[in-house]
Amino acid sequence: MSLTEFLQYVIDGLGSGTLYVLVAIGFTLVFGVMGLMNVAHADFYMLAAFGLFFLGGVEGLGWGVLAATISVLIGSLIIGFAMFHLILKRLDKEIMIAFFVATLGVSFFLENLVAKLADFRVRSVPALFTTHTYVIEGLYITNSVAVSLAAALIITFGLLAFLNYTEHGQLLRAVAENAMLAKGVGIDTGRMTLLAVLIGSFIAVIGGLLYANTTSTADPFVANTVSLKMFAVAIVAGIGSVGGALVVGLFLGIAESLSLWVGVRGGFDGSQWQNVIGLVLMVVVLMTRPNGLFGKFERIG
Amino acid sequence: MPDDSAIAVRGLDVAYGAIRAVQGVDIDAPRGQITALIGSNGAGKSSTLNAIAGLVPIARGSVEIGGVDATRLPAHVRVVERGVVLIPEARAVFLTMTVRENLGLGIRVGREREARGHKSAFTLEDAFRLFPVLEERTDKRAQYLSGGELKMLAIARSLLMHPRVLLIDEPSMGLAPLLVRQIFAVLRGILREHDVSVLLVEQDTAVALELASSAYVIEQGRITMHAPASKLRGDARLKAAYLGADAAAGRPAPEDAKEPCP
Ligand SMILES: Nc1ncnc2c1ncn2[C@@H]1O[C@H](COP(=O)(O)OP(=O)(O)O)[C@@H](O)[C@H]1O
Ligand SMILES: [Mg+2]
Repeated sequence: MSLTEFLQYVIDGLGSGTLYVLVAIGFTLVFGVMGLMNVAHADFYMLAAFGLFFLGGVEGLGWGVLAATISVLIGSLIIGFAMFHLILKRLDKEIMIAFFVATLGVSFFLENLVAKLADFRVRSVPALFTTHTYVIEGLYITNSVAVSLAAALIITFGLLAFLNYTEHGQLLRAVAENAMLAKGVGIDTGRMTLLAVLIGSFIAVIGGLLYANTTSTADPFVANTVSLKMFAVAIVAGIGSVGGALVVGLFLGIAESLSLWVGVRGGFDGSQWQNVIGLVLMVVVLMTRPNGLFGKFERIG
Repeated sequence: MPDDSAIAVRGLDVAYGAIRAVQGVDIDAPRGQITALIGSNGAGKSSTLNAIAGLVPIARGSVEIGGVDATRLPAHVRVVERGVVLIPEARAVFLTMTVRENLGLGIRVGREREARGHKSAFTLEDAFRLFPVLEERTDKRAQYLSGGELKMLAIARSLLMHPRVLLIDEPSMGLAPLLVRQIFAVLRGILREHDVSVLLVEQDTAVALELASSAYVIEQGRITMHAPASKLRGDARLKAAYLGADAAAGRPAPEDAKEPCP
């Protein structure tokens, strides 16, 4: 066994791990602030990819990658805004199952709408940038992994700084800890929820754009797998824990990649185990630490 | 005379599903006075205060603040525009935040109210002068404060919000008698200095009647008595009712109350 080979699998794992981080931090932020989960959150990955396909690609409107990317970023705010006003704020927070079913419905609707528009096919999307592979000490590192990792780190630490050192960040933390008291100290909790949804949507489409760029594809049902990782990362890290989502997301990506490596070494198909790892992790953590590894329920940051 | 009314509640109903916590309650809290709302555990006192603050839905009836209807206003608007500030009985402080951050939330509302023309002389220095321990602990997370310190922090934050009406829910709960007396002395001083009206909920009937100019008694969600405090102080029926209720609930008499926090 060579160290280089092992490290190569770690690097590949970091690439997918960063994409789990970017979907999980918005989900966990909104979950923390609202106390409820938006199941449709992972669909921003699908929307970002098809935004690139329909707006940027030659099979679509052909605006080019830059214009499509900017449109997707702006579009995420519009869709987040609409989702909040049409669905999220109208639901009775006391009835958790209503929230679950309603956001699941939004997810089905969006996925099937886009699938119909795309003729129920996986499409190929234009690349955000030309991929380069650097060879350093025998390790293959692509610029897309480097960009994804940089994005995940900058966004996570930026969000943590926002939550901890700005007034709006403090107001978000107040609502997450105790929404009733937050109202009592004059905070417009609805506005803060909208803010969390907008931040989460924006971060998610950044992840979605990078995901589409890495895989070069737009799959209408990509959220099926992405949402599984999103739940696993957010729950294992602890709901509301943004920093925890970074650590756990990267760990999950690396663990999945290493399962391939173990497969190669052991002579079996490790890819069959990949999707199980997150679930097993989730079950084990839920049994031993119900609030997650980094979570103290009712706080974000 | 709207100018003389701080809070006017009319025919208030509060319900939690099938539980009818408050039924047809009328309360008038005159401006510049302390009005007490007393009653045993589960009588509907907190529900009434929360409904006035806009924190639980009003099923029926109306709430006027300073003579102007506020029944449909969201809670944060009642705070910022009408100056109605609730000091809850429990979970009154953000435990994951520092003392400074908690006070900052009060200052933020105070600033917004000042921008709307509601002046008040109460400053952070005043808060620290009243409760020096808060200044010592300013960078500590609230979760490390004692029960008494949490109470002081909640009161200081509320005063920084430039309130016109304070809704105070069981300020003596869980505190040692000495601390209770200290906190009430502070409150009395503040109310004399600033133009603040108070609706005070207390299970400790003796304490409440000592402070208030008039009192309402609530039983099983309905007002059963309303009289000047001086009259109620000697009321044998009231005493019997509350000694009975306390004994039945297995609660210690207020004199034996211990400080439960570390
Ligand atoms: N959030 C709630 N959900 C359901 N029932 C509640 C809730 N809050 C209070 N109640 C019920 O309403 C009644 C009045 O409660 P409350 O207003 O807290 O009384 P008090 O403050 O006088 O002790 C009680 O029967 C209590 O159990
Ligand atoms: Mg109560």
